[in-house]
Amino acid sequence: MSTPRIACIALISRNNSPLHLHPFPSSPSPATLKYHFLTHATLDVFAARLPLKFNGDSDFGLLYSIDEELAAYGWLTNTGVKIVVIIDLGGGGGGGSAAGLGVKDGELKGVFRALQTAYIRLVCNPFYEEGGGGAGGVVRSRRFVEEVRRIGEGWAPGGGGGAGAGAVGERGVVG
Amino acid sequence: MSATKAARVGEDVWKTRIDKVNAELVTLTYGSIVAQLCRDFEGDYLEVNKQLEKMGYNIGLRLIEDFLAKTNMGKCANFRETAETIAKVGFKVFLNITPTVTNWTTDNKQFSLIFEENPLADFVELPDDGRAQNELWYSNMLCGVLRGALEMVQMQVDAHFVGDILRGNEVTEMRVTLVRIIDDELPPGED
Repeated sequence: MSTPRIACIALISRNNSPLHLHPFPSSPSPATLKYHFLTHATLDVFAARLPLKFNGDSDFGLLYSIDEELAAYGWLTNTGVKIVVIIDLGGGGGGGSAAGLGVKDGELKGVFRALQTAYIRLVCNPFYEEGGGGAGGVVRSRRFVEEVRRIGEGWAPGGGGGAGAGAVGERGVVG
Repeated sequence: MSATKAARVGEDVWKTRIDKVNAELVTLTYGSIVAQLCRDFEGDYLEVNKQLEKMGYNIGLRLIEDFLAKTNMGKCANFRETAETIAKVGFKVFLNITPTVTNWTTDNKQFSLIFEENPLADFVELPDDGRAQNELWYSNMLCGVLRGALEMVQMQVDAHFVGDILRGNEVTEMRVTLVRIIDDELPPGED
């Protein structure tokens, strides 16, 4: 049984249009379309949970899981940008596996923070225009895409890559 | 004045006599100016460069007064000293960076400033339109500032960027050339 890994990272604008979707591994595959659907489905969960959320936290935790194989986690910033990370739990069947337990609560916080930091760097670029640049507002910044790829590939359960990536990203902004 | 003394003066003035302002405020303000110019001139980056330089020139004309008052600097003996003062006092005091002075020509009239960091360009990614990377000098205002400031102290210089990390160059480098020393009789700023 393999360890959980990030299968897809998606950013969605406040108007629910996709800003960026990055599947891992990043080569285009039929799975990409599946991730688009899965991400789309998370929007309802965000909408349903939002009125019940009073703690002011951005973390929406586990949104839903599918077949003990994929689990979608969400993060909503105060400006309405949604970040969704889909985890491949690596269970691949077998009832006794750790599927569903693969990722602890809050273990993705570092990843979300790093992604939010990357997004901040993106919007602070004076040449960036939200919704501009054709293709329905999809982000085309090479630096941002590269950063998302790095975060996605660097993460491992247990706080290794993700948290580290967050720390690096945050230093970048503060400095 | 030696390079180390210039560095000390810069450090000292920056610590004690300078009002600080949030770095992101500066970065984003400058970014808005450049982006707005790019929109106003509809992507004519050569014109944007020119406008940035002109804005910088007008800043430099005034800024030198503030600079001299805050630092109590005397006259520089030669152009080499001027270069050290610009890098270690001027940039230190106003932007808290110290670009490296290097690549002197043998006649001591031309040098390069290498910017290891550039607070103006934080967050920036040039537009991916195939032209900005080759035409826009994002931080061109700095060239104008130097030209304006030095003109007020009787030095006519030419300053332009020859490399920018934003464009994918190895380093951000500004080339400064002393054109001539302006005679005192001439009213400054008149061409």
